[in-house]
Amino acid sequence: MTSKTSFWILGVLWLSASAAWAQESIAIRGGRVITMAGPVLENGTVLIRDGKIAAVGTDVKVPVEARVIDANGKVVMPGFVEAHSSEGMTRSNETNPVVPYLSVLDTVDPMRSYFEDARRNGTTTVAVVPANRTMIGGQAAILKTGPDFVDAMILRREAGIKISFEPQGNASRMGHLAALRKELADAKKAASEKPKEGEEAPQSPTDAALEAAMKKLVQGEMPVFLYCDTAMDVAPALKLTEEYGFRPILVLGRDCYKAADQIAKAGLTVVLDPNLVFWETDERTGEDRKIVVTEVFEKAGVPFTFQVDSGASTNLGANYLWYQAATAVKYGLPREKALEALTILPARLLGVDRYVGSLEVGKEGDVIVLTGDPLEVQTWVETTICRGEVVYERANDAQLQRLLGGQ
Amino acid sequence: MCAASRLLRHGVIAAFIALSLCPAEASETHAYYARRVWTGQGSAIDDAVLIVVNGKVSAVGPRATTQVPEGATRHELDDQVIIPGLVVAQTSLAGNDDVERTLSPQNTALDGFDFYADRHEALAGGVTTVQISPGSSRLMPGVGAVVKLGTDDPGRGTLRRREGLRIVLESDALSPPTIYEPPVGAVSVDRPLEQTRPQLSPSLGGAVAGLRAVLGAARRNTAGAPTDEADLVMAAISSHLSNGGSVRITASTAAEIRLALDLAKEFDLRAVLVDPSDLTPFTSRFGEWKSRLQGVVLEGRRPGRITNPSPEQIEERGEPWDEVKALVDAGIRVAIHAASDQDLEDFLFVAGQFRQGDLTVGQTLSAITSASAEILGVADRVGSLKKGLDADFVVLSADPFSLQSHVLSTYVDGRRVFHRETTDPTTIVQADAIYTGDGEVLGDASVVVRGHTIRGVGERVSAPRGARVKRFPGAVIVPGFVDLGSGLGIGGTLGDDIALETRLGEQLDATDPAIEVARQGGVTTVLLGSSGGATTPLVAFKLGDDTRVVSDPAAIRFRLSDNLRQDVPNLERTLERGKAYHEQWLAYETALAEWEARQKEAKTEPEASTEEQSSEAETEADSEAGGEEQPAPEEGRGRGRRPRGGDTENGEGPPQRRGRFGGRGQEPAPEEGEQDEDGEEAGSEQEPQEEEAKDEAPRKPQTNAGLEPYRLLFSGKIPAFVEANRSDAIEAALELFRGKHQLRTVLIGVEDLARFPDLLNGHEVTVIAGPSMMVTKDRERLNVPQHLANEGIPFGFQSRATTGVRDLPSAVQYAVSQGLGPADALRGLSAGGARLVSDSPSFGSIAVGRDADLVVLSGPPFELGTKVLAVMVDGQWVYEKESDR
Repeated sequence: MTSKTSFWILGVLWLSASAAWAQESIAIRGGRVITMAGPVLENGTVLIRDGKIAAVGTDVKVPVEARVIDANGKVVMPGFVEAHSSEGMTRSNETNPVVPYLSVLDTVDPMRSYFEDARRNGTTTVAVVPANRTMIGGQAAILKTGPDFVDAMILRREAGIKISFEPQGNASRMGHLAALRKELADAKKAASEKPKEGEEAPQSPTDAALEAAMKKLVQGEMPVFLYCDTAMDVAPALKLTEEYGFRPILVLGRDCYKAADQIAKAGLTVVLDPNLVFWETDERTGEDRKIVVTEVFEKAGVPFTFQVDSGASTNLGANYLWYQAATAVKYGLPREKALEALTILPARLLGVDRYVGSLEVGKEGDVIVLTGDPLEVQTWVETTICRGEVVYERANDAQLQRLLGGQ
Repeated sequence: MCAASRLLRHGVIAAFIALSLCPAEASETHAYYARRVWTGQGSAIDDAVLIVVNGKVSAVGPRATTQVPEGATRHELDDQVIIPGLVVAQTSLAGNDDVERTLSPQNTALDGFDFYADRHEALAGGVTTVQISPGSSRLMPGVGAVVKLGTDDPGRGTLRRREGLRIVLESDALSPPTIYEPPVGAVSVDRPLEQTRPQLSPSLGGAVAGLRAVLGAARRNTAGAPTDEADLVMAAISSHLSNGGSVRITASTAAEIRLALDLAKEFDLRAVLVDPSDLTPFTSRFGEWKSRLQGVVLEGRRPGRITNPSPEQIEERGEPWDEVKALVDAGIRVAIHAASDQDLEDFLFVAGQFRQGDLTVGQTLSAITSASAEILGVADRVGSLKKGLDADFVVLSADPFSLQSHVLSTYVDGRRVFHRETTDPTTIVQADAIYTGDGEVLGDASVVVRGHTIRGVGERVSAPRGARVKRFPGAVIVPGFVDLGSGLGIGGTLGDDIALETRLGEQLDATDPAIEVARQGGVTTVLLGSSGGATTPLVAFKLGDDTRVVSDPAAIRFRLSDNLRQDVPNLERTLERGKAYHEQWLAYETALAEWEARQKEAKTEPEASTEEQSSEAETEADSEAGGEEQPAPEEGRGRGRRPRGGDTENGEGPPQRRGRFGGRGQEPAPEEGEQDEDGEEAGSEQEPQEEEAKDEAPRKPQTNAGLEPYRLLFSGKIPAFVEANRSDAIEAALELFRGKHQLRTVLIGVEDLARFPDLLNGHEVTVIAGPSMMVTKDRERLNVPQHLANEGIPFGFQSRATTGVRDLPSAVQYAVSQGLGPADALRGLSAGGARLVSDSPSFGSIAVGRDADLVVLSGPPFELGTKVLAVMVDGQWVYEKESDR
């Protein structure tokens, strides 16, 4: 294939995609609409035009040209938002410890099954963040989970920088934190110094990019994803936040539940570890104890949202965002809060609640149609609409059909 | 209490208890009353109270003069001791990880400290505040911090974020790894890797030269902003020094110590000298050191560790406490730290070893509390118990550094964060003196009680650490008293005529109120029997809550009334009959033993097939042999269980009949007749018959419950209590019981014996005195026990009472006031009395293996002012006098 033909093919594809995106109106009619912005509408209609929500209500007039999706007996709600995921990248960690100038956009692969699974399970927006094993990782981006082009998926390019408090390799915590502080102090100093007139510092391009990215970090221009591996990481994370005026998004490891109190005092919203319920053994007494992370944070008064665990856990349910929320409800989280933790809460945490997280006029047309209650195991995602485009339909899900054996 | 630290580690529940309860509890006022409070400043307050308000000490002082706020929760700690929470001047609880660079003052130990980790071991050792140290094998591994344990709030738990820029001059720190210089940058294209380079010189001189350069530069340049990494190191040092931060220099050998002091002098450092082991060359300079050193931190030896130092090491190091006294006397603050974090659980022991360096208790304690806190710069928060400081304190079982004193609970900010569960069933009873009952008196001794048995007696006894200690200061422990003739325990009066087969032990009623009364006097073991009747059983039992039977029957009581002409022949017949029964069984047992021996011989012959049978036979034989001592209870009980005083014929019936039926109140069963014949006539024929025949097992004689006690009597296992008052009755009794039958004989009510000791005529008998100790005969007042004591006749006492058993000791006290020696009196009330009943009684004396029957007296026994403070029966406290408090 010559480069010319491939250019043409791409061009045609782009045209057709953008045409569909720009023109198709979708009306989802007759369903039970959970807007996440007001009361639940029985027999409501959601109208999407030009990729945005044009109307939500019980008396919405459906234009003739609109494609109508009959949601009678079904549940309609905004697409889920996942506030932290290191999936969907070809490689999620860097070797060098300080790489804030890198962007996940350069390594996101829309063909990875993560995105397909996300659509299948109702997630339409995800913050793709570098993983936890880089001290100052790259920049996160907030993406839609469809369609299949990275550029078309972007909701926000520079969505935050990742800092991990977990020491890497053989490093001690002291050394890790000392190094982290040094980087931040250096960056702060560099940011406050005005470049002397006429005296260009001979810098390599990467050094310049590094300096620029660190500047954004210490000047609070970007949110910071702070990964705390254990409870003892929370205190330095909070301290650095205070010192540098970070806009923090705390991403917690499993054992951070012990610091729930401190986090509550700081008044932060957190992203919980995928592992929500686990057993811990007392080293001294040998006594086993069941820890329910959501219960701890709920009682401490810390708002939280979830992330999924792609295959790392033996608990299959942790692969589904809605299952995480359902688990929390099982252990006492009010249903309303659980639904918020899937939608508007992470949207607010990421600073994109103007665009996603609820069904309100003007927001992006991210709607999912469910066969039943969103927190029920028997419920299927019937249709996922992302920016006004149907990106998933169960009827056409060949994989699922194969899996279920011709149902 | 809210949240033991171990629970905090995990546990939603614990976490929430902590969250919900602690604030509420902290706002309360608590008053802790203890035998002694050590404030940490060297002195102690006796009988003191510690008042805690909102997690802070609000007052500490003598109980008598300290105002306790209204509404305070009172905690009586009895004779426990309070000391301040221990402050350890150096630990590696922050992980002790080293970074690559040998000069890394920007490292802070606080970053490595996990406030959420389980600190149970340290808290169990009474440690509440620790200095945490950065790594240990770099020249300047970082800056330490001071944190409190027992809290999971990093804010509240951090006392000082930066304490002690650490410098290590020991050889371990002098060879750091070689490193890449400059470090690898963001990309390696324009920054090629270079060869590794060593850091500083690996010699002590080189290292110190490097330190001089760095410290000098840091001192000069306190303001300049750092521009590169080397300057960052400098900036970290200079900011630490200019903020008045201390420097802790680890220096072991004399050369290292000298260099440490030189550095301190040269750069005017607020220096703490850590782990100096060779201080001897410097003793004359300690006065000079006082102004220069913030303090000296010494390393305690690892507890219970046996090491093999080389002769050089022994020469060089000596003991860590060699110069400690000289340091303290020179006015230098001294703190002690543990060689390993594992030793924190035994930190009091680690520190206590320094008493070998002639430190007082107060000085040693201050080295792990107030002096340590001063060195760490946290004396305004912790380290002593005085108004305004954090309520961090430790409750000890005894004074600090006294042997076997241990931590019972630990409090941080007024919250109990550790409590030793006293699940150990062992109790240690301590008093000023112990009278063992065997004539021995032990001063300042303890009795160890586990279960219902005494496990140790003496001044320094072995006992598990978790044992509960019950102290009776100024008191005296004597054995539980023995009343050899009482009427209590059945909830009423015992009838006059009790058949010999009656098991009185089965009729005991633990709810008899007399028991409760009786033991208040200190009597713990009594013999119960009817006071009337000619031949009657006695049971020995404990006055515990379960009226445990010691032996049943414990003795047989015979009575010789004044009508000797009738009584003597009757008794004679009774004894003959008992003896015959005994001998019949004896013969059977002998025959059985012989038969078994023969069976065994036969078995040893090679006949494999019979092996199984024979082993069966053996077990059968065993069980029979085992049953011989105690006649099968079913049989005995089946016939013997009679209501008390049930048989009117018994004792009053015609002599013939009684002789024939042995005082049993029942129809003569046909087998019994046979058996009698067997025993008396055919008994001797039995053995030869057996041998001739097929060698069958000897036939077991019929058990006769009414005669069973005689087997015990005639085999010497139980004594015959013989009641005889008049001298002729005594003579007759002696003749019959001693002269004719050589039975163990105990005489009762023998007033005349006291007057005419010659009556004994060489017979070995013992005597029970009481209920009245003083008798007047022929216008002469006689002290019966005193006479017995002077004649060398072993004696015991009886009360013949129910609730009056309580007064037996005071009756004996009266005898003592009239001349009976207190030691003899005590012996008679305890071990001596018990020995009348059994050769090896389980009760009556305080010795290992005996029943734990203790009486705690307020003073020496039989003094007029002496009161019973507490009574223990079979290891259970059954009476405790209300405290005067």
